[in-house]
Amino acid sequence: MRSGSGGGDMKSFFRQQKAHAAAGSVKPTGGVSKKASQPRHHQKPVAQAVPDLADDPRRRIDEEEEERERMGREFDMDMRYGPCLGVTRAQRWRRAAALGLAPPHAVIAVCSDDQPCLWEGRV
Amino acid sequence: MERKQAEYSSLDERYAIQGEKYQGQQYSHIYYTRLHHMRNLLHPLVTAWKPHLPVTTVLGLEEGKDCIIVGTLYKHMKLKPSILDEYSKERSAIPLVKPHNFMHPDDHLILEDESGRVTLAGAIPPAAYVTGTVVALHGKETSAGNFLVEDVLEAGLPPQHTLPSINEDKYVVFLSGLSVGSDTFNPLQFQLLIDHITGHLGDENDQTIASNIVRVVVAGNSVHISPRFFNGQTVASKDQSRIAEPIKELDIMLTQLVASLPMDIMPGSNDPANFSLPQQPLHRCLFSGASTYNTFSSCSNPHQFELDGVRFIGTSGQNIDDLYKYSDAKDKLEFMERTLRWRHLAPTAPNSLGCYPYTDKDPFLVESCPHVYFIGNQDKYETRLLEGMEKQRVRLICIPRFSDSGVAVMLNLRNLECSTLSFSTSLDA
Repeated sequence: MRSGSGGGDMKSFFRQQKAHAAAGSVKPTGGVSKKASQPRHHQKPVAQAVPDLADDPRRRIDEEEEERERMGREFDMDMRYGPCLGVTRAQRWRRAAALGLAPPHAVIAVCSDDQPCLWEGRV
Repeated sequence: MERKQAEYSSLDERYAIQGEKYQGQQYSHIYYTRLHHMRNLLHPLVTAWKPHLPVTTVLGLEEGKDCIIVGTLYKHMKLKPSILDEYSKERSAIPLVKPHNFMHPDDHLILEDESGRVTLAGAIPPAAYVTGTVVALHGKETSAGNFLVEDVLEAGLPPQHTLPSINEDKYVVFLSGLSVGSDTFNPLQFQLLIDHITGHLGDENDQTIASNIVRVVVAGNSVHISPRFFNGQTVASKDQSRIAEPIKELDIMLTQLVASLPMDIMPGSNDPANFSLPQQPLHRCLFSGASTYNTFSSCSNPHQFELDGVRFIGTSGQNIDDLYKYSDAKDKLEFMERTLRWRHLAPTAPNSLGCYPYTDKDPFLVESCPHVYFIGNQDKYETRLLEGMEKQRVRLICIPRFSDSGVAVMLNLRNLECSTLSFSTSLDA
């Protein structure tokens, strides 16, 4: 099960351990969060000179998922669309559209109908 | 003799909770939609009011700079009962007897928007405002961190459709607080009223007047079920039929009324309906006799409808009674006027008035000004014709409790004039 806690780095850190445990030292796809990548989990050399071909599709899927997560999180945290707790992302997006706030279309494409917000169940 | 008819259309769809699905959400969403909606209304009004001043958010306030902020008011009240007082260690500080009005000279107002809150001081009297109102304020931030208010802008009366011209006298009768089943209920008085309205009473003149009545609206608290059945203990089987007796009696009497003319019945705080606003219509199975007639109409509280083009909005009184507990005005009509100026029927919901936690709308917002605004279950009959800035005219009506006063209110649709129907059964003049 994917861990959902903390910022983007922690996510890639864990995923790193599980998916790439065998492959080893691939640099995390750190575009996820604006914080600088934490150096603590990387004493290993940065970015392999030749990327492993077998990892490519997996990495792309992971990148896409991270991108989706990031968009979802940014949408949740945006104050203009109101509180995020208690409604699913799709409902909040539709509410924002109905109120005329023009939320980005990319978000509704990636969230399924019953996906709750980031803080659901934790606050 | 034929009774006059009027075209009726109910505008209650916004109060129906059937389609809502509760997912465990809290009340932040209803406040958000309320602020969003009211802010969109206030922004153009603000530019017309003081065009040279910038509009900022609370977080963007700069000390000493004159500006305008828009947000929801929160009134911090010392005496407001809080559930947490039960757990407080210093029980003696809180009075055991709850006062009827929770105002205190130390109450202060706070303005809140999405970015933050700021305490208010200056030309904004806390006694006139309640939590949940959205206003625009002109002022500046002081060094103490408060916002010193110079001027307040409320949304004002909403735009109104023109009153249609009706050539003949058509009357609507308003009733409230029948309290069938209580000690103060006098069945003879209610029967007199029914006989008068249905034309069984009086000579031809009286019958002519009665034939001009096109509708009866019963605004809440029609039954009174003895509180001893509500203390949490199981009801003995011999008492179980006693609980339903007031409703059955009401049904019998309403059947006579409904056989003669259309009627709307709204739930009130004492009726067998849900507690939080908007109260859903009383179920048809409670009125096994009256609901067989198509003139019987069970409506929500608040209730909005249109009769021959004249728009009505009314409640059973809970919204104004709550304002009375948390703010001050010279009479109930002034509270009603304020709710129209704030464009919100129940600004204290959900703070101190029970309300459904809507996620995407606030059904109590008043979008178009009604021609008639009525509230039920009041202490005495009061009425006034309110005039707005854009020539809106609203008839405000406070309907007294029938069981206490024997008074019903009659409104003429042609000119929005109000009079009373008073019934007395005491033998001494």
